[in-house]
Amino acid sequence: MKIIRWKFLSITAVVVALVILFNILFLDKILKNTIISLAQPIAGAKVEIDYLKTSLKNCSVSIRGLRVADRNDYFKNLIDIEKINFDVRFWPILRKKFIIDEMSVDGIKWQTQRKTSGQLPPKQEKKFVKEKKDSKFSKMFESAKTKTIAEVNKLPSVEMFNNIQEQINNFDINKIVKNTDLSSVKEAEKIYNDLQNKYKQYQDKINNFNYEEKINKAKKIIDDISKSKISSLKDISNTAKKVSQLKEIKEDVDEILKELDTIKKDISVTINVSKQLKNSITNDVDTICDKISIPNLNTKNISQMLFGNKWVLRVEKALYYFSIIKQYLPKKSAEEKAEEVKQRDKGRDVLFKEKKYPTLLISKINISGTTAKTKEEQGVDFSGLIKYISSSPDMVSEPITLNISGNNNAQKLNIAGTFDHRTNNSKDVLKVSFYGLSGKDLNLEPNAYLPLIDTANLDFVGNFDIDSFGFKSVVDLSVNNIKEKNLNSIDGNLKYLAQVTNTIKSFKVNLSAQTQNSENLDVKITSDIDKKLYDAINKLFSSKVNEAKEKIKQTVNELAQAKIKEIEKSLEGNKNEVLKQIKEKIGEANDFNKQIEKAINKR
Amino acid sequence: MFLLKTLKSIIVMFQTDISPNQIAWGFALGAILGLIPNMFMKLVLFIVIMLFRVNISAALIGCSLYAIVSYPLDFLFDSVGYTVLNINLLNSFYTWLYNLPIVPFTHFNNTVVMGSLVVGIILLAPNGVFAKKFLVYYRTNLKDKISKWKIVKILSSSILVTKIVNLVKQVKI
Repeated sequence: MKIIRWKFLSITAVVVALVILFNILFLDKILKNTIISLAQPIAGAKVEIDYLKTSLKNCSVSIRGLRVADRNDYFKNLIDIEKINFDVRFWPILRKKFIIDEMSVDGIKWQTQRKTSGQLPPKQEKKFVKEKKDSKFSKMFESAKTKTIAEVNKLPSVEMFNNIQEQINNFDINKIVKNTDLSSVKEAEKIYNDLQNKYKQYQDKINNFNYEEKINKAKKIIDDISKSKISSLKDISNTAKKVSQLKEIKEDVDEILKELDTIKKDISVTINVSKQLKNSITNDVDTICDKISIPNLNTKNISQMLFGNKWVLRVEKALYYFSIIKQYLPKKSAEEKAEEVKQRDKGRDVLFKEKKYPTLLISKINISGTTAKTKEEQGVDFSGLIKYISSSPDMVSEPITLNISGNNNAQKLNIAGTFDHRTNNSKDVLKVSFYGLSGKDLNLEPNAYLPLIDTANLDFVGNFDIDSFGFKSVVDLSVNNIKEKNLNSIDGNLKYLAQVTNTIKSFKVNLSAQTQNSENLDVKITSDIDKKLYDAINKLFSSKVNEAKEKIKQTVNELAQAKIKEIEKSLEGNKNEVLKQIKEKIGEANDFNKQIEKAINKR
Repeated sequence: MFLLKTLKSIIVMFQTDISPNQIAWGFALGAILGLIPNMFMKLVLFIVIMLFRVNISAALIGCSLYAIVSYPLDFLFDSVGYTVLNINLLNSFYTWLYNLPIVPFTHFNNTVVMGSLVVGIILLAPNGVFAKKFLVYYRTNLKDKISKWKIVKILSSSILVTKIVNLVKQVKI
């Protein structure tokens, strides 16, 4: 009797052959579509593969043109990989294990341009947004980010810069002087009034000398003396008496002469109001200069204002990709494996000691690529290794390590990282240093208060640490060789600012962001640009203030001198009048004195 | 149609002179097929049944009967499987099996799978003997009586069955 059903065997063989044929014809397409459909929800943007070829003979897979669109800019690729090649070990596949000993990833580029939008269809986009929104990480970071951005925007520096600009633009000395109550002018008016009063008093005094009366009296006595005849002793006595009266009158006239001489001397002094007003003018200049003093700059906030928002957004982006890595590197604790019996819906699974093969293990990935976004662009060609990527890190003795380096003399790139998920307390560390970048990479908006950062060389050193409790990231930026602004293209007061910022040739920025237990995001930004900008603005204001002071001095002097001239002219007239009067009186008094003397001597 | 064909093949199996050994083996292997819950193991056993010249109708009867019986007996298979999987002497053997390619797909380390397989294997010989003895007894004592039943006559007539099948097809169209 025949034991075997050969007919069934041949049918089975045909079925197996058909399955193999199907795989040869359609496996590549199925695999390609599977990869795309799995990757798109992770990236949140379109994923494209130009070509995928599998070989059942070597269990090898070859991928060409893998592009993942950037969900922050749909017309750019987050990553663009030219080719990926790897062999999968055959036998482990039958145990649902994918073991790859060596993989090569070549022609890596990022931020390359796309011709079509990388946005997902609305249905998939909706799903991605919901998943992202619901994730613990996303909720934690979103709340922290909102708080931080609000705090950065609240900083007084923004207002401060606006005030500075306003002060520079509205700087009008004539307006400031006009609005100031000048003490020098008041002082000049006071001097004028005082002198006027003085002249009036002197005039009154001269008029009150009773000069005419004294002359008339003396003339009468002289006349009496000349008419009198001395015939008796009584006549001699009378004449002597009248001579004595004349002597008294002469003494009075001498006294008046003395007083007139004193007044003359007092008035004859040159009127110099300018000299008297010198201190007042200086005080006026100082008072006005105080009004245009240098604003009080809060230097701690300048760099936070400049880099704050961008830094928070970049941290968010970096952490988003970190979170993806974390999500797809599940922890598998050793305790879980030690469990001998696992309860199932039907029966229990008795677990035996298994060979340490995770579901997915890529022992080594050789990577190479360039930082150039286009063929024309000069970038850094880099290469490196990623080791021990595994779906069950606890089964692998080493953590995932990443080492990438590149150097093209002008630029130098180093990336080193370890992603240790072998225990419940995972720890990811990534160190990135990129020397010789362009200042353009900072993407800072052009700002009148900043030097031309776009023209500078930029060195970037960043450390990112994430563990089960939180994350910490520290970035040091060094901006060097900043070129000067072209002053010809700048108008008005900003030209002065440009002159000053042109003196800043380099600066450093230290940015740190950390959170513990998913609580507050603590963002710290320090930079010597704070001090440099402060000094620069200070210098700008100092030069402006000195210039203004000179102008204020000139303006105040002009105003005061005009007033002084007017006063001096008016006073000079009055003075001359009084002097003329004195001169006349003195002449008359001297003539009269001579007549008296003559009369006395005659007798 | 499948039911009609199956019924016909069962009647043919009982009424014709098909080897009792083929039927006994088919029934015994079908019983294991009905007991074990794991699909991969079912597939392997099905291929074995198809590959070897055992009676498929008998296997179907065995599978159906024991599939019904197996549900309330899961607790028994669980304790049997647990005992078998925890025999220290076999631990290294199980570990070896566990680390072989493909074998883990059979889920042999599950207590119900292992219990039902062990019970099925234990029942292999008794089921075979029982099936053979029953067939012999049937053919000796019952075959003639049952062959006179109308339903058996109808289903035995291949022309009539073919006509009914065609009629059903036409109605469907």
